[in-house]
Amino acid sequence: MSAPLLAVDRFSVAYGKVEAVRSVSLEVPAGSVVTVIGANGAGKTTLLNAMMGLLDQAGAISFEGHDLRGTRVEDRVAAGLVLVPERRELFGSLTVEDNLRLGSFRHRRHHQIGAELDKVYALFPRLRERHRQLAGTLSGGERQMLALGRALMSRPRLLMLDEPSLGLAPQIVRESFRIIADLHKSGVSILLIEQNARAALAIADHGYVMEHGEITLQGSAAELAQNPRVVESYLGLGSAR
Amino acid sequence: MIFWTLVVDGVVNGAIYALLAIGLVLVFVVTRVILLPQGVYMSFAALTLSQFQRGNVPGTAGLLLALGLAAFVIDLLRSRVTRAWLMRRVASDLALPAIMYALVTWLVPLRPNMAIQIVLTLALITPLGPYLYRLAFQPLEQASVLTLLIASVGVHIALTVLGLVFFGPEGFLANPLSSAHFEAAGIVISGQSAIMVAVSLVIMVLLWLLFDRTLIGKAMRAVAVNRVGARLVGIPISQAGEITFALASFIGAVSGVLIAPVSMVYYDTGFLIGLIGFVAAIIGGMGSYPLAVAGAIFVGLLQSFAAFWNSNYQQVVVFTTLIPILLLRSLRAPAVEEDE
Amino acid sequence: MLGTALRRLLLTAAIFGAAAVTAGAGELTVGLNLPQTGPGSSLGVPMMNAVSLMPPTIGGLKVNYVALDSRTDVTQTAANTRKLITENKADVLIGEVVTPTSLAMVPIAGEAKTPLLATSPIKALAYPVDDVRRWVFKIVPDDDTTAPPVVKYLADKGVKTIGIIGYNDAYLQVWTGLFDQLLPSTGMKVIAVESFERSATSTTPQALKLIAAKPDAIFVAAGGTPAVVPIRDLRQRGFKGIILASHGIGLPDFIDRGGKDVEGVVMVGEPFIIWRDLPADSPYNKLAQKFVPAYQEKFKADPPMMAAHIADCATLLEMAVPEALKRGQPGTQEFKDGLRDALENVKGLYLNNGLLSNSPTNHAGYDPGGQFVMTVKDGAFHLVK
Repeated sequence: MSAPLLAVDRFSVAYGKVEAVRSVSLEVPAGSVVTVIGANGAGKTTLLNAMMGLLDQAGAISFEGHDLRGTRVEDRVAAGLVLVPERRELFGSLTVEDNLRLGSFRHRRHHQIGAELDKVYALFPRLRERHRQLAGTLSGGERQMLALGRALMSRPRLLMLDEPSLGLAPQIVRESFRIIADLHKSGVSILLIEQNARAALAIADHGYVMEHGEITLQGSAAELAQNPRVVESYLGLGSAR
Repeated sequence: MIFWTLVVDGVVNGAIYALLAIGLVLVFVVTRVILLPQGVYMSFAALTLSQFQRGNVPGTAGLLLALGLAAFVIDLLRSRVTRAWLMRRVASDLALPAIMYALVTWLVPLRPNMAIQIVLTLALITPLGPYLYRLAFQPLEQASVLTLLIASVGVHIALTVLGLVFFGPEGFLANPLSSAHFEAAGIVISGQSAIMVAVSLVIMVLLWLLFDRTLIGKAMRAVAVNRVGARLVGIPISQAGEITFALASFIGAVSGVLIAPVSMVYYDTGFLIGLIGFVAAIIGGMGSYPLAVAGAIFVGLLQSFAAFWNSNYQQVVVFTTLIPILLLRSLRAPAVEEDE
Repeated sequence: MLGTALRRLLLTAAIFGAAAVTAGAGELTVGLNLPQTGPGSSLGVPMMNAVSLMPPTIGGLKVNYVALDSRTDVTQTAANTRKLITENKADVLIGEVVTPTSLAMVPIAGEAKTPLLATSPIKALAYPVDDVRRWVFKIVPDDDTTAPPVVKYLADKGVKTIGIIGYNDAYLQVWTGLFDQLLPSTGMKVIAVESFERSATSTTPQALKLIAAKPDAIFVAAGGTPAVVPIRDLRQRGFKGIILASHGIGLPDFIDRGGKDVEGVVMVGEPFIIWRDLPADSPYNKLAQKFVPAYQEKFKADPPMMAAHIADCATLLEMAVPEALKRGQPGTQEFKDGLRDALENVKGLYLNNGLLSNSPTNHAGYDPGGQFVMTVKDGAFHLVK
């Protein structure tokens, strides 16, 4: 196996004295989709935020072989590590198009931004229709599209998605996963965090199970989908949603 | 005729309050700092200009050197030092103040003309903003608004004391920017007043262009609306803070240059005028520029008419009118930090 | 800037250091509390300069000057005053120059029954003369002293109506009160009173209102640099009448900031300001001759009014110390009592500030006749003859 795109080794994150993530090690090979599944509060979001550089962290993290320890969020974004957060974190009082353009902030000195904007609009025609509307006025599904679109404008090499299906109608959830699969085909590696384990394992190559801040199980997506513990704890409920 | 003269007087004063209010709103939305020293920039600029006109080297030139050096040392201890970083910081923190200091000490005794004095003043005061940001506020980037306010009070007190040391307790008046007077419909308008309003308008238009037409400006708005989102698209928050502070100190310096010839400026004048700017900013909910400007003009007119009606009760009239407005605003204040 | 600050500090330290030696027998101790730092320092520093020119012996006694920095701070002033009385055993106190700090010295001096030569203009320092204030003597004339000459000047000019503009504080009330008291017998009246804030960006509305009332003369009840802005606005808005100001404008800063806007402004003030225009045989001219050249030589600058206050303190002590010595030796309460009585009974003493005659009910007994009408001409005050 070639060197992983992202490697996290014995990674810990603490809020004061409470360790929300304890000694987590995981890898995302280039060109793959990796998912971390787990219950609410297992520490998945904390893990992603820390990998993004939003939180202080202990342990090693490298991206394309470069040590990311001590680097700032903007450096990680520039390197191609891009997060679509659970809360979307859009710029509500700016227009849809401004939100997208700001996605390319790190690449603002390049000239193909217009072309990339067109690509995003092609992927999400709804955003083109609403490009002059304020982001704060969008519906839940449209916000998710805009968050994804904005992330794509950052030219991700690894796209980290935090609960992309949360709070969305089933039809839009299906649509989201279709788009994630398309992105993967176009060469973007993906790290997906989901409570909807069934959908996540369906598109992932590899999976990790996180419980109480620790990785308790890992394996190929197919293996995990068969694992009785996973089936009992996550897939049973997941299918009911 | 008296009516219109009062309107002109009110609008001219309102323009100054508006500049201060804009600076305050700008800094608050981007960095969440309530920048009390905004008025100090004004005093410092006005007094610096007056000192130039007297052929003195103002204390602010030395302050620039000291703050640049302090910012450099603090950052040296705090940052990952790379070659590019070092080059940039040596230029911005050591070379720039040194050049300014040399330029000022060389030019001032030669009694340069007004335009050069003004450029020097702006160039001396504007860099104070980013230095202060890096020294006092950047380390507290994640702190609460209250903590930032306390830091702001500290910086304000320190600067006021320095102002007293640099300029003494007495007030100064600078030479007018224009001694022209023209008459329109029976009211006399001084060239100085016209310049004050015009420059304020130009600054407002430039700011609008920046925030509405450029990606950098939009990035600063993005920081204001959603800091996490801004960080996630790779906008460097601290750099946005530095730029914001530079804009604020520039606006403060411009207001100081504008007011220096009309008003007796003391080392602490900026605070008192800044308070009125602050009130105007609050009328605008600490988040809206047009409302802040409208509020500033309103306060300016109110002061003018109140002073004419009964100067003994000027402050009473102004503040009793403002209290209900502020109460109303606080009841229906828009959330500054947007919740998704 | 730093150089002078350092020099000041060293000077203070030197004077203070000398004071550490306790007063010997037959030695007069003068305790001074003056601002060397803080907002009052621009007034206090020239006074401290003048201290170095005070006579080394007074009435045959060696004088020990102990000067402390008040930092223009009330708390520091209180501490200094106590220290001067209890530790340094001061026989007489001199100070302060800014209103709040000068007032802070009064009760402490009164309680310790130590005479205080008060060097700030505020009337309340020594009025009314009660158990505490019987120890306080004013070096600066009250506004009461200058008011009658002001009114006389206006009457002589044929003025009928007067407008007043002043700082929005008690000082304005003092002057409206004085006019209320003095005008009824003259047929003149005040037709408009306006006030302004120190932080005011403009006094245009007040100027407009005053001009609309069409007074023959306008009186500015403000001192120093704050008086400049309303005067300028009155002129700019077209006021052509007489502009008078209170004697607080008699400072170089006023003329410096005012420039041509304050040319022609009239005030009634202390003889020291215009002593050069007085004849050589005038007692005021002689007093100034004794002090000014020495100051100029030592400090390469003209002494401001405040420095002359210190010279006046010395003149008063030269009068009072011989009287006090008849009652007791320095360091005793008898000596202090003697000083106090001599200061209270001074009659017709010429000072840089005017002609002084105190009484048991008036410890600021300057004669209105010792004040002079002067006007700003070519960037300096000159006597109006």
